[in-house]
Amino acid sequence: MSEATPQELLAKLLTDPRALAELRQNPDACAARYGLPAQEVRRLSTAGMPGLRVAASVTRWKNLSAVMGSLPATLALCQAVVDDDTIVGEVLAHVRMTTPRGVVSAGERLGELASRHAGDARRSVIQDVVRYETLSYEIREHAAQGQPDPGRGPSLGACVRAVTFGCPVAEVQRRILAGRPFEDLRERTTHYLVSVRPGGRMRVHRIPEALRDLLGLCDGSRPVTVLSHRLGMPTDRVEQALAKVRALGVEIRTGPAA
Amino acid sequence: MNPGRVLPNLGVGLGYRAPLHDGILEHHREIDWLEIITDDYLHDPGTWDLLRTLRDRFPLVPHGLEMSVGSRDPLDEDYVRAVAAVADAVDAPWVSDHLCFTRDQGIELGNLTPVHRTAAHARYIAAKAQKAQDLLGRRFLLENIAYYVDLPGELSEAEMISEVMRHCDCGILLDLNNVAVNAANHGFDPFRFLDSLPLERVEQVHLAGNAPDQVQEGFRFDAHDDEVSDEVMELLAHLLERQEVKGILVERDERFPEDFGEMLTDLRRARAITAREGVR
Repeated sequence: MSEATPQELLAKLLTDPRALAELRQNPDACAARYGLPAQEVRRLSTAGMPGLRVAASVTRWKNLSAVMGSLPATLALCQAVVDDDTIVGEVLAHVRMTTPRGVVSAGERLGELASRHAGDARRSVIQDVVRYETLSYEIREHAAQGQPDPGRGPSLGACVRAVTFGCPVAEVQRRILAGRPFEDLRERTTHYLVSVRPGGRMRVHRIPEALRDLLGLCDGSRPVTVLSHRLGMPTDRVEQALAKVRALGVEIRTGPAA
Repeated sequence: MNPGRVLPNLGVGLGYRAPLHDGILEHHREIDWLEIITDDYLHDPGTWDLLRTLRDRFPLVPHGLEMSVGSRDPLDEDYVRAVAAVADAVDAPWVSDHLCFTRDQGIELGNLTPVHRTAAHARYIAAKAQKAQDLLGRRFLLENIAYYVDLPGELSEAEMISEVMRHCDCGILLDLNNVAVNAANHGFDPFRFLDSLPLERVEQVHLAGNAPDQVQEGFRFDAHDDEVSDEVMELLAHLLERQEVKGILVERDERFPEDFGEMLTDLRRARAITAREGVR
């Protein structure tokens, strides 16, 4: 079953406007390529065209709705520079939005598409927005592989990350979705503590660099005394900082006392 | 477990959607069972706490979107195993998805798309559905979809469904709104369509309605966004005169009513028809 087939033709017609135009202009060539009777393909290219247009528009709408729900600012950045047909044809027709890996892949591809058309000035912001919006999916995918045994020291829960962006990306996302300019927020290094709840809901806390450094070392391999030594921070301040994070409802696993 | 075992009679239920959550719990005595969208729970066992809460009150049936049994690609066994895990978690009596394709030869459609209707393809689909049922370890039902474009093929839709069923022992989930929409859009009689199906294989029914303004290029739109229409209720009565089914489900996907009473009206109307036709 490797030769071109009618279902492959239909899939192309629903995701690529060029295929639809080709069907209209040269139905016989389409019929030959996809192994269909020429007379029936001619009928598809005339009487069947309204149904094809409706089906293509439903397919486009469903794909864009799925992205709107999971990668809204990434999609908005893309839609600012390319049309919806291009987004569907070049990206969404090649990723499965129903898996965390598929959403991450869609984000990366949309980011590449937007960057190609947006120019250098926006490239780093686009990359940050993509990374921010795909983060919960990456975390969920990683967490699904299981949580490692707790080590000797504190470690972040499986659904927790301390991350750094080149801009205050949470605010950038809000402004993009509100249709407001965000250029003034570029090139401001910003740190966040991100935790993902069941169902993918993300909680985000902006954190100072010192806490980012501490949490970045919390991989379970270092007892509090080692963290204290590495950061030049008293042990009780390390404990207090971790307690404050826990008080936010963020999971920090505790290793045995050093 | 024998997938072909006699299925329990679930009664009249409702499609679980988050906007309906509070109304469902408040009126749980009027809802016999719930159908959940499998894909919402596949990759995040953290969400199963919700399912377990629902399962304490209702039988749950997982209804999937992405099995794509109609595509020419091999069955996605990882996907089927993930569906089976959800089904096991809720002790589902059966599992369903659609007789369609959502991807083919590397093209992802993200939409339920009509298959090429040939006898050879029907046998291919039947083999995939049978394999899915075997992996799931429980009865697997295939739902008829609404479609706006018809690929040139050698079988009618009813013949295609019949041919698939002839070559596997899965069941049918008959969406009567999809039947009504397809009949209007493609010019056939929905009652004759029902009569030409292997009705003894119909285990479950979907009931839904479409807002009257949902028309595009002359096509009635399947949106599942309104009260169940009289036409669909008549199709239900017609079906139940001929075949008892194990589950009747009211499905609403959009434009959720502010007043949950609208959902209850649909449930009560369906229940009245089942009572009149002598089934539970």
